Amino acid sequence: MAKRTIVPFGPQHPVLPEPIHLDLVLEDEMVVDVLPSVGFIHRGLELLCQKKSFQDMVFVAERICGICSFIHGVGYCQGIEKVMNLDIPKRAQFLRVFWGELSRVHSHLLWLGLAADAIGFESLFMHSWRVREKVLAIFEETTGGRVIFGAAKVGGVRIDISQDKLDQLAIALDEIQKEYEPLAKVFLEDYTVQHRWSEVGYLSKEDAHQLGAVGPTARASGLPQDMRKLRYGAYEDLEVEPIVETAGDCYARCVVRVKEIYQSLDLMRRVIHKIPAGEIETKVTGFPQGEYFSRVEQPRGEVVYYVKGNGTKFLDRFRVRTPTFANIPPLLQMLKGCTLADVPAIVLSIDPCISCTER
Amino acid sequence: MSDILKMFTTVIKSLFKKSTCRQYPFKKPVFFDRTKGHIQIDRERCILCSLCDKRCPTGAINVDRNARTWAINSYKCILCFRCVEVCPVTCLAMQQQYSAPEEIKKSEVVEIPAKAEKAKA
Repeated sequence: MAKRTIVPFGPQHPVLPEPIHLDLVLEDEMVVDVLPSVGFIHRGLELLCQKKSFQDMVFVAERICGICSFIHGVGYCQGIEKVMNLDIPKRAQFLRVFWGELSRVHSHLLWLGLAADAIGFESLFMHSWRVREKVLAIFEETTGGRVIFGAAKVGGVRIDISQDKLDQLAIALDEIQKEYEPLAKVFLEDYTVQHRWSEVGYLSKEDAHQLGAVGPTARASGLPQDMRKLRYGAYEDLEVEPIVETAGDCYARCVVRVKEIYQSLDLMRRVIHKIPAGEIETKVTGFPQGEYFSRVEQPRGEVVYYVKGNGTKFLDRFRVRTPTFANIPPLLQMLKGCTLADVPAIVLSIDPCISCTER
Repeated sequence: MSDILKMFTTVIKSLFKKSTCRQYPFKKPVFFDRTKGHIQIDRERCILCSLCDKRCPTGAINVDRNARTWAINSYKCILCFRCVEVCPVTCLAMQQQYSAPEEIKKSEVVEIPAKAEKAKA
């Protein structure tokens, strides 16, 4: 038996935008065991619910993550709305889906760029982010913010998009798709990308199910798991079929994300086509009393919000289970048996968002 | 070989396109209607109701009725539009230009003139 050595990976590493530490137990070049440790950027956002009113907490929930900020806000609002039995106007629900799907496009393009950078494909990285910049411009135009929008509120949304603007956005989406297509082709067909990721970081369907993988990580292993199938909000009127790959390696996870961008662009076009006129918010009276588990689909997978109200303007408890947290056990499974050089590619393949995980 | 050249066409095309980045000092940024810059107050119209102070989620706004001052700490402000929405006399507005950097983090204090002075003016 080869001599075992422990090599630390992170918290500071070129492929990691955020700090996570892994102790890699190596036998020669082979990883045989992994010990993760998180907790470098814990901010204690969950306890803030006892100091901020339930309506102000939306701003805190949005700040859990800088990439899927809007969906965090929506997930929290959805929990409170269910507790208070509020009926949300259809237009508000459609607008939430629009910004949510646009966030997904932005997040996936960001990941594709970072992943291309991690395999040393610099030009692909820059072109992915060039397309992403157009998505950010739409965010700024419609909500005023590029990262944190402040558009979600308990009872609906705070900003409306006029019909003229929606028609303009449909054209902008077509332009984004046109620019994205050649890049998607590179990710799907290029030899360099396939050579780096194929058969790296394999996760079987059984392991994905047993270890509780979520989002693109689960879908790349053949599990058709997508919270949008729960038909929350406006997904009731918009049919979504999860994109599933069966290979279970890093390349499959990349392919799922590449295809999901097309799916999201298509969903947004359907939203623009179907969006009804009317109010964008309902009046909120009283305080939340009761508890609810709200589940929504983020770019990285399922996220769970637990809210518990006690009849005052402060909540008793607010709890978030983010997708990266659920994807860490499958990540450890993927890492076992790989070589040291593959570790950065595999860690990046679950799209880790550590700020989300530690809140 | 053709597999490796998938990126080639995109790269060649971008060589002849104009720059994607805005050449900043020569070309100023274009703001949208909703761009979040900074909060500005119309001191003539303010009635010191302090609703903005109460509703501000970060406590960035401070209204002192006795001293007749309205103060905002732009380092705490998250530009959420809450104060603009609640102001009953619509004297608060979002300006599109970002606030300028400062050496010391301090609140910007605005003195609100009394009614008699407003009438005189």
